[in-house]
Amino acid sequence: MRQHVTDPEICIGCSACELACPLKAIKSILGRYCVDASVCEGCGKCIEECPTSAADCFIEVAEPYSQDQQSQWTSLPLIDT
Amino acid sequence: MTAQSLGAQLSAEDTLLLEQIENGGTISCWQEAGGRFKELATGILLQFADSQMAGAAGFAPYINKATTIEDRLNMSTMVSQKLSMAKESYEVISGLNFNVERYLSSHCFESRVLRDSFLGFSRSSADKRLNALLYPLEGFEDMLVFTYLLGVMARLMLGEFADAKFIPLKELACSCLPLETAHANFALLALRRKAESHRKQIELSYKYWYPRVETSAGPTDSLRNHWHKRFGLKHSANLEIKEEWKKEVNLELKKLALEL
Repeated sequence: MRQHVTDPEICIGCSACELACPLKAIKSILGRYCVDASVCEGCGKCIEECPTSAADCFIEVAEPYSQDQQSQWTSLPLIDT
Repeated sequence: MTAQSLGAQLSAEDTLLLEQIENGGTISCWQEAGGRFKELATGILLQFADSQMAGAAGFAPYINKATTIEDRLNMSTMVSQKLSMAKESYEVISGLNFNVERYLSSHCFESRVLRDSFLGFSRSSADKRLNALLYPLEGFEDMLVFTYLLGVMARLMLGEFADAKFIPLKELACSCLPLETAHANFALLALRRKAESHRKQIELSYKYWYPRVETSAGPTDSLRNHWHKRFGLKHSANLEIKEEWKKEVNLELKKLALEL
Protein backbone atom coordinates (compact mmCIF):
# COMPACT_ATOMS: atom_id res chain seq x y z
CA MET A 1 0.00 0.00 0.00
CA ARG A 2 0.95 3.63 -0.49
CA GLN A 3 1.44 5.59 2.73
CA HIS A 4 1.47 9.35 3.02
CA VAL A 5 4.32 10.60 5.24
CA THR A 6 6.44 13.75 5.54
CA ASP A 7 10.06 13.76 4.42
CA PRO A 8 12.20 14.34 7.55
CA GLU A 9 15.12 15.64 5.52
CA ILE A 10 13.29 18.59 4.03
CA CYS A 11 10.65 19.25 6.70
CA ILE A 12 11.43 22.52 8.48
CA GLY A 13 8.97 21.83 11.30
CA CYS A 14 6.70 24.82 10.68
CA SER A 15 3.43 22.92 11.39
CA ALA A 16 1.65 24.19 8.26
CA CYS A 17 0.65 20.59 7.40
CA GLU A 18 -0.79 19.94 10.85
CA LEU A 19 -2.86 23.11 10.73
CA ALA A 20 -4.02 22.49 7.17
CA CYS A 21 -5.25 18.94 7.76
CA PRO A 22 -9.07 18.98 8.04
CA LEU A 23 -9.06 15.52 9.66
CA LYS A 24 -6.31 16.19 12.22
CA ALA A 25 -4.38 13.27 10.76
CA ILE A 26 -1.01 14.96 11.28
CA LYS A 27 0.57 15.66 14.63
CA SER A 28 3.96 16.70 15.91
CA ILE A 29 5.83 14.12 17.96
CA LEU A 30 9.32 15.10 19.09
CA GLY A 31 9.21 17.89 16.51
CA ARG A 32 8.51 15.47 13.64
CA TYR A 33 5.25 15.79 11.71
CA CYS A 34 3.71 12.33 11.51
CA VAL A 35 0.70 11.23 9.48
CA ASP A 36 -1.87 8.83 10.89
CA ALA A 37 -2.48 6.42 8.00
CA SER A 38 -5.82 5.32 9.44
CA VAL A 39 -7.16 8.89 9.39
CA CYS A 40 -5.53 10.51 6.31
CA GLU A 41 -7.80 10.47 3.26
CA GLY A 42 -5.24 11.99 0.92
CA CYS A 43 -7.05 15.28 0.32
CA GLY A 44 -3.72 17.03 -0.30
CA LYS A 45 -4.42 20.17 1.78
CA CYS A 46 -1.17 19.65 3.68
CA ILE A 47 0.77 19.40 0.42
CA GLU A 48 -0.69 22.71 -0.74
CA GLU A 49 0.39 24.46 2.45
CA CYS A 50 3.82 22.88 2.95
CA PRO A 51 6.47 25.49 2.05
CA THR A 52 9.14 22.90 1.14
CA SER A 53 7.13 20.02 -0.41
CA ALA A 54 8.09 17.81 2.55
CA ALA A 55 4.42 16.80 2.83
CA ASP A 56 4.38 15.74 -0.81
CA CYS A 57 5.83 12.36 0.09
CA PHE A 58 4.44 8.86 -0.39
CA ILE A 59 6.10 5.51 0.24
CA GLU A 60 5.17 1.96 -0.63
CA VAL A 61 4.74 -0.19 2.48
CA ALA A 62 3.43 -3.61 3.40
CA GLU A 63 2.10 -2.29 6.72
CA PRO A 64 1.72 1.42 7.47
CA TYR A 65 4.20 2.99 9.87
CA SER A 66 2.67 4.29 13.07
CA GLN A 67 3.08 7.95 14.04
CA ASP A 68 5.42 6.91 16.85
CA GLN A 69 7.61 5.04 14.37
CA GLN A 70 7.64 8.03 12.00
CA SER A 71 8.69 10.30 14.86
CA GLN A 72 12.00 8.42 15.10
CA TRP A 73 12.98 8.97 11.47
CA THR A 74 15.87 11.21 10.50
CA SER A 75 15.42 10.15 6.87
CA LEU A 76 12.84 8.10 4.99
CA PRO A 77 13.06 4.36 5.67
CA LEU A 78 14.75 2.24 3.00
CA ILE A 79 12.06 0.57 1.00
CA ASP A 80 12.44 -2.94 -0.43
CA THR A 81 11.05 -2.92 -3.93
CA MET B 1 -3.14 29.79 2.29
CA THR B 2 -6.04 29.38 4.65
CA ALA B 3 -6.92 31.74 7.48
CA GLN B 4 -6.88 28.70 9.71
CA SER B 5 -3.31 27.81 8.88
CA LEU B 6 -1.95 31.31 9.24
CA GLY B 7 -3.96 33.43 11.60
CA ALA B 8 -5.75 31.25 14.06
CA GLN B 9 -2.95 29.46 15.81
CA LEU B 10 0.11 31.61 16.26
CA SER B 11 2.69 30.09 18.57
CA ALA B 12 4.09 32.01 21.52
CA GLU B 13 7.32 32.55 19.54
CA ASP B 14 5.39 34.00 16.58
CA THR B 15 3.33 36.30 18.80
CA LEU B 16 6.51 37.56 20.44
CA LEU B 17 8.10 38.02 17.04
CA LEU B 18 5.15 40.11 15.83
CA GLU B 19 5.45 42.35 18.88
CA GLN B 20 9.19 42.64 18.31
CA ILE B 21 8.68 43.63 14.66
CA GLU B 22 5.86 46.06 15.46
CA ASN B 23 8.26 47.75 17.90
CA GLY B 24 10.86 48.19 15.17
CA GLY B 25 12.94 45.11 15.98
CA THR B 26 14.65 42.71 13.59
CA ILE B 27 15.07 38.92 13.47
CA SER B 28 18.62 37.77 13.08
CA CYS B 29 18.30 33.97 12.92
CA TRP B 30 15.88 31.05 12.67
CA GLN B 31 16.23 30.27 16.38
CA GLU B 32 14.06 33.29 17.16
CA ALA B 33 11.32 32.15 14.77
CA GLY B 34 8.05 30.31 15.36
CA GLY B 35 6.22 28.01 12.92
CA ARG B 36 4.29 30.64 10.98
CA PHE B 37 7.34 32.81 10.48
CA LYS B 38 9.40 29.82 9.31
CA GLU B 39 6.67 28.84 6.86
CA LEU B 40 6.41 32.34 5.38
CA ALA B 41 10.13 33.09 5.23
CA THR B 42 10.97 29.66 3.82
CA GLY B 43 8.23 30.13 1.23
CA ILE B 44 9.91 33.32 0.00
CA LEU B 45 13.42 31.87 0.08
CA LEU B 46 12.46 28.66 -1.66
CA GLN B 47 10.44 30.46 -4.31
CA PHE B 48 13.46 32.62 -5.03
CA ALA B 49 15.96 29.74 -5.02
CA ASP B 50 13.79 27.43 -7.14
CA SER B 51 13.08 30.24 -9.58
CA GLN B 52 16.81 30.82 -9.99
CA MET B 53 17.35 27.09 -10.55
CA ALA B 54 14.58 26.95 -13.14
CA GLY B 55 15.87 30.14 -14.75
CA ALA B 56 19.39 28.75 -15.04
CA ALA B 57 18.02 25.51 -16.53
CA GLY B 58 15.94 27.45 -19.07
CA PHE B 59 18.69 29.89 -20.05
CA ALA B 60 21.56 27.41 -20.39
CA PRO B 61 20.64 26.26 -23.93
CA TYR B 62 20.60 29.91 -25.04
CA ILE B 63 24.31 30.35 -24.42
CA ASN B 64 24.92 28.60 -27.74
CA LYS B 65 22.06 30.38 -29.46
CA ALA B 66 23.50 33.87 -28.96
CA THR B 67 24.95 35.24 -32.19
CA THR B 68 27.87 37.17 -30.70
CA ILE B 69 30.57 35.95 -28.37
CA GLU B 70 29.75 38.90 -26.12
CA ASP B 71 26.17 37.69 -25.74
CA ARG B 72 27.37 34.12 -25.15
CA LEU B 73 29.52 35.44 -22.33
CA ASN B 74 26.60 37.46 -20.97
CA MET B 75 24.34 34.42 -21.09
CA SER B 76 26.85 32.13 -19.40
CA THR B 77 27.47 34.74 -16.68
CA MET B 78 23.74 35.01 -16.15
CA VAL B 79 23.36 31.23 -15.81
CA SER B 80 26.28 31.07 -13.40
CA GLN B 81 24.96 33.96 -11.31
CA LYS B 82 21.49 32.44 -11.14
CA LEU B 83 22.95 29.24 -9.73
CA SER B 84 25.01 31.25 -7.22
CA MET B 85 21.92 33.12 -6.06
CA ALA B 86 20.04 29.82 -5.68
CA LYS B 87 22.92 28.39 -3.64
CA GLU B 88 22.98 31.42 -1.37
CA SER B 89 19.23 31.19 -0.78
CA TYR B 90 19.27 27.43 -0.09
CA GLU B 91 22.08 28.05 2.40
CA VAL B 92 19.79 30.28 4.44
CA ILE B 93 17.11 27.55 4.54
CA SER B 94 19.64 24.85 5.39
CA GLY B 95 19.77 26.50 8.83
CA LEU B 96 16.41 24.78 9.43
CA ASN B 97 17.70 21.23 9.10
CA PHE B 98 16.74 21.34 5.43
CA ASN B 99 18.76 18.92 3.30
CA VAL B 100 19.44 20.88 0.11
CA GLU B 101 20.90 17.95 -1.84
CA ARG B 102 17.91 15.79 -1.01
CA TYR B 103 15.57 18.56 -2.11
CA LEU B 104 17.42 19.20 -5.37
CA SER B 105 17.56 15.52 -6.24
CA SER B 106 13.79 15.23 -6.01
CA HIS B 107 12.94 18.13 -8.30
CA CYS B 108 13.38 18.71 -12.01
CA PHE B 109 13.99 22.37 -12.70
CA GLU B 110 14.05 21.82 -16.46
CA SER B 111 10.40 20.78 -16.55
CA ARG B 112 8.02 23.11 -18.37
CA VAL B 113 4.31 23.15 -19.24
CA LEU B 114 2.98 23.49 -22.79
CA ARG B 115 3.67 26.87 -24.32
CA ASP B 116 -0.01 27.71 -24.87
CA SER B 117 -1.09 27.03 -21.29
CA PHE B 118 -1.95 29.78 -18.85
CA LEU B 119 -1.64 28.83 -15.19
CA GLY B 120 -2.64 32.09 -13.55
CA PHE B 121 -1.99 31.68 -9.83
CA SER B 122 -2.63 27.93 -9.71
CA ARG B 123 0.26 25.73 -8.63
CA SER B 124 1.41 23.12 -11.08
CA SER B 125 4.87 22.07 -10.00
CA ALA B 126 6.22 20.33 -6.93
CA ASP B 127 9.02 22.84 -6.59
CA LYS B 128 8.24 26.40 -5.56
CA ARG B 129 9.37 28.40 -8.58
CA LEU B 130 7.28 31.32 -9.84
CA ASN B 131 4.73 30.15 -12.40
CA ALA B 132 6.38 32.35 -15.05
CA LEU B 133 9.32 29.95 -14.93
CA LEU B 134 7.12 27.01 -15.86
CA TYR B 135 6.52 28.21 -19.42
CA PRO B 136 9.01 27.30 -22.13
CA LEU B 137 11.12 29.85 -24.00
CA GLU B 138 10.86 30.00 -27.76
CA GLY B 139 13.87 31.58 -29.41
CA PHE B 140 16.52 34.10 -28.45
CA GLU B 141 14.36 37.23 -28.70
CA ASP B 142 11.64 35.50 -26.72
CA MET B 143 14.21 34.73 -24.03
CA LEU B 144 15.28 38.39 -23.96
CA VAL B 145 11.69 39.63 -23.53
CA PHE B 146 11.12 37.12 -20.73
CA THR B 147 14.41 38.02 -19.03
CA TYR B 148 13.61 41.71 -19.16
CA LEU B 149 10.04 41.38 -17.86
CA LEU B 150 10.88 38.96 -15.09
CA GLY B 151 14.13 40.77 -14.29
CA VAL B 152 12.21 43.97 -13.55
CA MET B 153 9.79 42.00 -11.37
CA ALA B 154 12.69 40.31 -9.54
CA ARG B 155 14.34 43.67 -8.95
CA LEU B 156 11.15 45.08 -7.41
CA MET B 157 10.70 41.99 -5.22
CA LEU B 158 14.31 42.03 -4.07
CA GLY B 159 13.91 45.73 -3.31
CA GLU B 160 11.13 44.71 -0.92
CA PHE B 161 13.21 41.99 0.70
CA ALA B 162 16.20 44.32 1.00
CA ASP B 163 14.13 46.15 3.64
CA ALA B 164 13.02 42.96 5.40
CA LYS B 165 13.18 42.66 9.18
CA PHE B 166 14.60 39.15 8.77
CA ILE B 167 18.31 39.84 8.45
CA PRO B 168 19.33 36.72 6.45
CA LEU B 169 16.67 37.59 3.83
CA LYS B 170 17.73 41.22 3.80
CA GLU B 171 21.38 40.25 3.25
CA LEU B 172 20.47 37.80 0.51
CA ALA B 173 18.37 40.42 -1.28
CA CYS B 174 21.10 43.06 -1.03
CA SER B 175 23.60 40.64 -2.51
CA CYS B 176 21.29 39.50 -5.36
CA LEU B 177 19.77 42.86 -6.27
CA PRO B 178 22.69 44.08 -8.44
CA LEU B 179 22.82 40.74 -10.28
CA GLU B 180 19.11 40.69 -11.12
CA THR B 181 19.32 44.34 -12.15
CA ALA B 182 22.20 43.50 -14.48
CA HIS B 183 20.26 40.60 -16.02
CA ALA B 184 17.27 42.83 -16.76
CA ASN B 185 19.57 45.51 -18.21
CA PHE B 186 21.39 43.01 -20.40
CA ALA B 187 18.06 41.89 -21.87
CA LEU B 188 16.77 45.44 -22.27
CA LEU B 189 19.90 46.63 -24.09
CA ALA B 190 19.74 43.63 -26.42
CA LEU B 191 16.04 44.29 -27.06
CA ARG B 192 16.76 47.92 -27.88
CA ARG B 193 19.34 46.77 -30.43
CA LYS B 194 16.92 44.30 -31.97
CA ALA B 195 13.73 46.35 -31.74
CA GLU B 196 13.80 47.31 -35.42
CA SER B 197 15.11 44.12 -36.98
CA HIS B 198 12.95 41.72 -34.92
CA ARG B 199 9.92 43.90 -34.20
CA LYS B 200 7.23 41.34 -34.98
CA GLN B 201 8.84 38.56 -32.92
CA ILE B 202 9.47 40.89 -29.98
CA GLU B 203 5.88 42.15 -30.03
CA LEU B 204 4.54 38.60 -30.07
CA SER B 205 6.79 37.67 -27.17
CA TYR B 206 5.65 40.70 -25.17
CA LYS B 207 2.05 39.71 -25.75
CA TYR B 208 2.82 36.19 -24.60
CA TRP B 209 4.93 36.98 -21.54
CA TYR B 210 3.28 40.12 -20.17
CA PRO B 211 0.27 38.41 -18.52
CA ARG B 212 2.38 35.42 -17.46
CA VAL B 213 5.03 37.49 -15.70
CA GLU B 214 2.44 39.89 -14.29
CA THR B 215 1.08 37.13 -12.02
CA SER B 216 4.51 36.91 -10.33
CA ALA B 217 3.52 39.88 -8.16
CA GLY B 218 0.98 37.59 -6.50
CA PRO B 219 -2.80 37.84 -6.14
CA THR B 220 -4.29 41.18 -5.09
CA ASP B 221 -6.31 39.86 -2.15
CA SER B 222 -3.57 37.64 -0.75
CA LEU B 223 -3.72 36.59 2.89
CA ARG B 224 -0.10 35.50 2.61
CA ASN B 225 0.83 39.04 1.54
CA HIS B 226 -0.93 40.39 4.63
CA TRP B 227 1.17 38.13 6.87
CA HIS B 228 4.37 38.86 4.95
CA LYS B 229 3.83 42.51 5.81
CA ARG B 230 3.00 41.82 9.45
CA PHE B 231 6.13 39.75 9.88
CA GLY B 232 8.25 42.43 8.20
CA LEU B 233 9.20 40.25 5.23
CA LYS B 234 7.67 42.69 2.74
CA HIS B 235 6.26 46.18 3.08
CA SER B 236 4.22 46.67 -0.10
CA ALA B 237 0.96 45.12 -1.20
CA ASN B 238 1.13 42.76 -4.19
CA LEU B 239 -1.02 45.19 -6.15
CA GLU B 240 1.45 48.03 -5.56
CA ILE B 241 4.33 45.90 -6.86
CA LYS B 242 2.32 44.88 -9.91
CA GLU B 243 1.42 48.50 -10.67
CA GLU B 244 5.04 49.60 -10.31
CA TRP B 245 6.13 46.80 -12.66
CA LYS B 246 3.48 47.72 -15.22
CA LYS B 247 4.45 51.38 -15.08
CA GLU B 248 8.12 50.68 -15.72
CA VAL B 249 7.57 48.04 -18.38
CA ASN B 250 4.90 50.04 -20.22
CA LEU B 251 7.20 53.04 -20.34
CA GLU B 252 9.90 50.92 -21.95
CA LEU B 253 7.43 49.44 -24.44
CA LYS B 254 6.49 52.97 -25.41
CA LYS B 255 10.14 53.97 -25.87
CA LEU B 256 10.67 50.95 -28.12
CA ALA B 257 7.47 51.83 -29.99
CA LEU B 258 6.21 48.29 -29.41
CA GLU B 259 2.53 47.50 -29.48
CA LEU B 260 0.90 45.07 -27.10
